[in-house]
Amino acid sequence: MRCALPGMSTQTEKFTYDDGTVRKFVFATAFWGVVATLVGLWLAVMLVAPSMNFGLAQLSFGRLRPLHTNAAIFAFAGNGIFAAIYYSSQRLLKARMFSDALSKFHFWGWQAIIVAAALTLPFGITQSKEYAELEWPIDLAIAVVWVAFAVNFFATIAKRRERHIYVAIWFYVATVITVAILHIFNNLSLPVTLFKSYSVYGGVQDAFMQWWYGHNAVAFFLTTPFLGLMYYFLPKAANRPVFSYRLSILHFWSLVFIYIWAGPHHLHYTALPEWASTLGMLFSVMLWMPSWGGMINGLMTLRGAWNRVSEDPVLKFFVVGITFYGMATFEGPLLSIKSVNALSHYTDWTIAHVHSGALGWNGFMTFGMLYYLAPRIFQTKLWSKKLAELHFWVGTIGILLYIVAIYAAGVTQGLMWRAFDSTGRLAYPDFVETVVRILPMYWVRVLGGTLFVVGVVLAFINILMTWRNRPATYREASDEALPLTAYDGPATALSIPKHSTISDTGHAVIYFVQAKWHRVWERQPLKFSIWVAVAVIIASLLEVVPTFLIKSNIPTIAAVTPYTPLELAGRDIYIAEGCYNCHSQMIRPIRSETERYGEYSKPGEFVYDHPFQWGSRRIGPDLQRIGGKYPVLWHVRHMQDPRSTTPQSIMPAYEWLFKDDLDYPGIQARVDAMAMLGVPYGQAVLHAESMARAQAAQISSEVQAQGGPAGLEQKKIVALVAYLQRLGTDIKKLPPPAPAPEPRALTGSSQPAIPSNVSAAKASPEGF
Amino acid sequence: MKLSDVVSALNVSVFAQVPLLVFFGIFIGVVLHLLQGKSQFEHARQLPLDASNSDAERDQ
Repeated sequence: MRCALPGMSTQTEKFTYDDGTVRKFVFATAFWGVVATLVGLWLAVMLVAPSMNFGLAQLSFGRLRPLHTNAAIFAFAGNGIFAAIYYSSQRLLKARMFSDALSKFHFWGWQAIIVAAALTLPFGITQSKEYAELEWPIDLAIAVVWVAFAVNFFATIAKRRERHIYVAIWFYVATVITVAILHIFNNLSLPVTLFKSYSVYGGVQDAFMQWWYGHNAVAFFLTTPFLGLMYYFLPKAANRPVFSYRLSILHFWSLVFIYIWAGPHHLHYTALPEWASTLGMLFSVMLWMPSWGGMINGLMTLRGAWNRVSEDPVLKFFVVGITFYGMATFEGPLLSIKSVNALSHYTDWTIAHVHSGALGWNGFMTFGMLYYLAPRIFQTKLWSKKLAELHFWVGTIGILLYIVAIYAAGVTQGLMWRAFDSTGRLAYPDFVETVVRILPMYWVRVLGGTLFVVGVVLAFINILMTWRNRPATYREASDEALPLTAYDGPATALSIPKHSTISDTGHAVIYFVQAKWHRVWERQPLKFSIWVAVAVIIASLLEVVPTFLIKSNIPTIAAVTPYTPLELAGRDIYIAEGCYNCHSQMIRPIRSETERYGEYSKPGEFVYDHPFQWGSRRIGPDLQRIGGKYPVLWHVRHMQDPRSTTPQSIMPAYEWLFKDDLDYPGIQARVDAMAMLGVPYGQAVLHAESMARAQAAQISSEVQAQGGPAGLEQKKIVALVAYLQRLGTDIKKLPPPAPAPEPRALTGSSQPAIPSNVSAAKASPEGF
Repeated sequence: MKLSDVVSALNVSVFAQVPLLVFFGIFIGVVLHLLQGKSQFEHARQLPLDASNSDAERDQ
């Protein structure tokens, strides 16, 4: 029993811990871990054997990849951090969770969200923003469940019996607050139907918001809660206090202040303004310092306990996990440097980087925690320590095989894309050459991924068997502690007397320099949380405000007009099929790119793109200037059987687009929604369906005239072809003529006109 | 005058300089706090290990 500190009663209180919720989250973590990695393995197989979707739309790469990423992040890692938070917070705060009902709501609500994701993403119901693909009803559900979790968490802090808030809790506080901010603002969208919405942001601004969110999802969902996990479970497993508490404070505040700025490094050399890109790079490089502060603090905590690492699988997982954290956070700033990013971006290098972090850091820290928790929450010995050891080695070898192969694939891609021959032409002008070259490495990835999945299955079996050996009834975990009373400890005001020769300002400066304010915050979680929120919001606003308000950021282009109703429907099919998972729509101003794809992308070309479709990797070539490059029949053949036009292509066939009817009646609502977002649709707002049918009939007859199949005008493929043929063509056109009273007639199969009066009215005289 | 006019009139380098100043200000503040002495952090450092007897008994 602890002695009474100032401000404490001398009578201890007995209380119990809610480990039932922890048990549920532990099971969910192990189960979703198997699902997430199995889907990932399936995707890896499809990259070398594209027919492995068996012709089913729901199993195609573009639709399943978001399911894999969402399952890995929000189902596996998400349940893992909730298990960590529920277990460690109660013990660090010396209090049972505030509300068992809220804990249950949180658990079952989160699982329902995961199931909803699994039921919608394979059916093409997606917002297409990476790691934020879930449609608006699910986004609302996430917000509600997260708020319930936040209320439960903060109310537990409020009723704590430990005055000091340990550093792990700080990291959890940063997670709870920042994830809520990120989720709400990135997912602001206008619903069209129950399963379809358009982002309220367009083009450059949408890209900025998405990667502000995307990068900070890594920061505040996959980093800060795992650091909190590390700061609790590593000292417990090693039976050593954390190496340096001061270092933990330093790297906490540095992380919170720096991470939030770094998002724009995902958009180097794109149409994002240069100043934002440079700012993102600068803060990304600064991230080295706090990240390595955390890694060093973690590894040094094991001083004096290294001899136990060889015997204890929990410590083994933690050591390798923290090491991967160090490697990934060294590599991240490296990749944010523009000249490095010019090579690495869009290549598999990024995929290797992500997986070294996700499998090594998040995965192994989670597994270490699961093996630590299993005997404690199931109140029996771990079923098999040898199986845990086997998992460790199989998993480690699996990760190494995976990332080494994919690093090699990424660097190979990057170098081949930019290679020129002695005559100054692209050395590998055919994109598929670069794909074929890395297929052997993709096979090695399948092998490494298989090993990792085997390890996850072993963990699931071990957890399950440990649970089966549980006692008939659990002993309720209990503890006792002194209750908190009003603080009457040492004053935090200045110890120096107020002297007439020192002004009030002088006193304020001395107060700041003595930094006793921080000790006050550490006892006042509300104030502490508010300052974390302020840090995040200020940082965000300093990037968001200029991105949205500096007029020169996005110069409009007079020739750029909204998509026709049919093209808009085709764009929605492009989104639903997840084409952005393999194709970018962003040509960087780099010679190798302009040689290969054409004129570099301009910010003004994307002003009507809700959401943006720039993509983040190139398993296939960029599509920004694909419009008009091939006849319509080429696209029809290519979508029906990619190998018929590109023999070595690894793209799946999209046969269902030739069977499924296009929802013509639904097009009007989509156009209306875009118009509400400010897209100048003019007459299309009144006649969207008839305009779409007219354009579809023209394209269909053109396909037939070129020797293709007849009767495509009712099918989805015709809309997708219309969209693809439009891509990147606007800047090749002359600016539209002066306003005309009537909408122009369709001028061609692939370029029907939008009422020119509207677009011209929006066009800027400073246009392209 | 709109906010966009004000923001557009500013030199874009301001938007990089302000965050740097904000960060370094906070960084210096935290460092000063940490220099206050080691002893005050000792209690916090031990918190994860401060398990009750009942908790310790369950440790396998």
